[in-house]
Amino acid sequence: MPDSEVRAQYLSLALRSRRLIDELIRYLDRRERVPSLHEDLRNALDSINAVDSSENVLALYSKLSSKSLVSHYEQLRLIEDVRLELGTDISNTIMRFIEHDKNAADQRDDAVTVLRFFSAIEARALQGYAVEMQVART
Amino acid sequence: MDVFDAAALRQDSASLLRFIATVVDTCSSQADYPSYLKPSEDFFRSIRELGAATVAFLDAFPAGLPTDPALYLDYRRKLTALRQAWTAIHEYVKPAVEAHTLGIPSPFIEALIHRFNLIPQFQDSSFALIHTHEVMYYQLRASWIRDKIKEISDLVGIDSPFPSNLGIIALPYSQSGGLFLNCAIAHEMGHFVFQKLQLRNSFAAAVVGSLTTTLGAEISTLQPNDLTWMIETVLKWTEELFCDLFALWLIGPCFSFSYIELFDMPYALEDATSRLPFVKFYDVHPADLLRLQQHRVMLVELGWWRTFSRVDSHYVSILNKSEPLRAEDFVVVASRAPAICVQTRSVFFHVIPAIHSKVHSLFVGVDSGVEEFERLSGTVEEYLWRGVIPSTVFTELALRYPRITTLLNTAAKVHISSLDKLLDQVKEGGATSPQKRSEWTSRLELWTIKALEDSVILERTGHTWG
Repeated sequence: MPDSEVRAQYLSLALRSRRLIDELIRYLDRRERVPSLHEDLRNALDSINAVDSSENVLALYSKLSSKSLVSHYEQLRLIEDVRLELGTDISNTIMRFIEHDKNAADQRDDAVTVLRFFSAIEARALQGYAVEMQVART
Repeated sequence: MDVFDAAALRQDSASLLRFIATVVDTCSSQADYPSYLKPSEDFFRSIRELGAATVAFLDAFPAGLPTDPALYLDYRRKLTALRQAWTAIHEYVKPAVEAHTLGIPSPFIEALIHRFNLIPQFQDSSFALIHTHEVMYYQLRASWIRDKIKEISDLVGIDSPFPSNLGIIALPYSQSGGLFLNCAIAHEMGHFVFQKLQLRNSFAAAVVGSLTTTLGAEISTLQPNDLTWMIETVLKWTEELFCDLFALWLIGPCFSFSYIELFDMPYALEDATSRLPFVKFYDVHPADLLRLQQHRVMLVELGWWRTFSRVDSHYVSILNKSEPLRAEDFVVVASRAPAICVQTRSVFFHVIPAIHSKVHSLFVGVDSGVEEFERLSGTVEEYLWRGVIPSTVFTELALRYPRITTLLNTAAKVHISSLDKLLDQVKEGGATSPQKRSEWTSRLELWTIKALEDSVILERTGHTWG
């Protein structure tokens, strides 16, 4: 695959993750709930779950849209790597956070976990982008 | 200074701000020279607006430092994301600045855009050009910059300043004066259409449907990783073939001839050795011979092949020879299990008819130009043999005004099959020197480009071909 395509995909994933990170920081630091946060997390969940099973992959691609967190193979692979590395059941944590079924302290803990997950994705994607830039230069 | 304090954040913001200011300066309007077509000016304007918004955002960024130190690094990394995003923008700015009107085949581009605007959904679209050092037009997805600008806009809290009707096309810097190879630009316009209409999303659903039909219950046995790769790969092949077929609808068989020339394919089917490189599907593009085979299908569907199938040229022969190839003749080159590769190929062949249908559906109500070509090309060809610019031709006892499809395809026909007649007329008959042929081919391109420039003006002033 041409370097420029891989680079573009990494950068896109980083910038889309950043949108979620910004929203989560506002929630955690200023107790502001950004109206779009839940919808953005639900869209992200489809992409995160896609790596679980063939059925979920088919479901993701059947309703691919401009709001999807990922839309390319390399992006899904990166998410899978981060999931394995962090070892948390991130899908459940996101669902719990969205559904508000815990007390405020636990809710905050879930928000921190979700933030760390998307921060890891962003950091890994930015790193991937930088590496691809180096490869392109050499 | 502590790395976690506001002063450090102010300094880092200032550093990024300075970098962005230099990028924006590069595309700031200066004197009258060099001049740019309006789409390029629009592109530069969007970069300047994005730059101004990013600078304003950075100016306020340190004040938003979270009170909770545990969130500091998450907040700070936004500067890294913005820097890398602007690094991506940086890659496009200088190539765009270099593509001024003297560095691009402006009349050809304007004629192409004029025809592109006949497509009902794209009547107000335009294209800015950028230079690339790549020879392959096909390897640079210049329109990704649209996505990057939108994503940065989201991060700095503005609506994207990138005009929704503006596409970006990359042109090899060496081809600023050429014509025939630049027919590949029509393929790049196809990428703009594919992205603008979000066809990736709609084809993704079609690919899932094809997978389900082709593999049946076997689909549930596939690993998610393999399945994702299969869908992604078929989608990439789909986009490339879509863009080829789009180009053929837009400008006709001259696109196929430019493709054959660019990839040096005239003898791709002579024997097993010459065939091998061209029957391979790679993960980013389908096999070249499959593409030529589908070119021919489209040219038959549109009616171009009534004339061109009889043209005596090895460029035409290769298109005809690709017709009997079957799925089993092609090989998928990928680091996947052979069974996965074969299944992926099957799924793609299942999707091909839908790609043809989608392209046809976009051009409903648009004249393919075939009828005009069949009536005027003989006369246009005689003008070109005599070195006369065929902006206006006299035939059927009247003045006629050939349009882009007739001009391009007649010139391409002369290029591939009857350049000797032109050489005879200019007393260079029997010239065997490739250098001489190259010189006169360049002149043929220049005459055609001039005719294209005139044809747009004539059409705008109400002169119709018939």
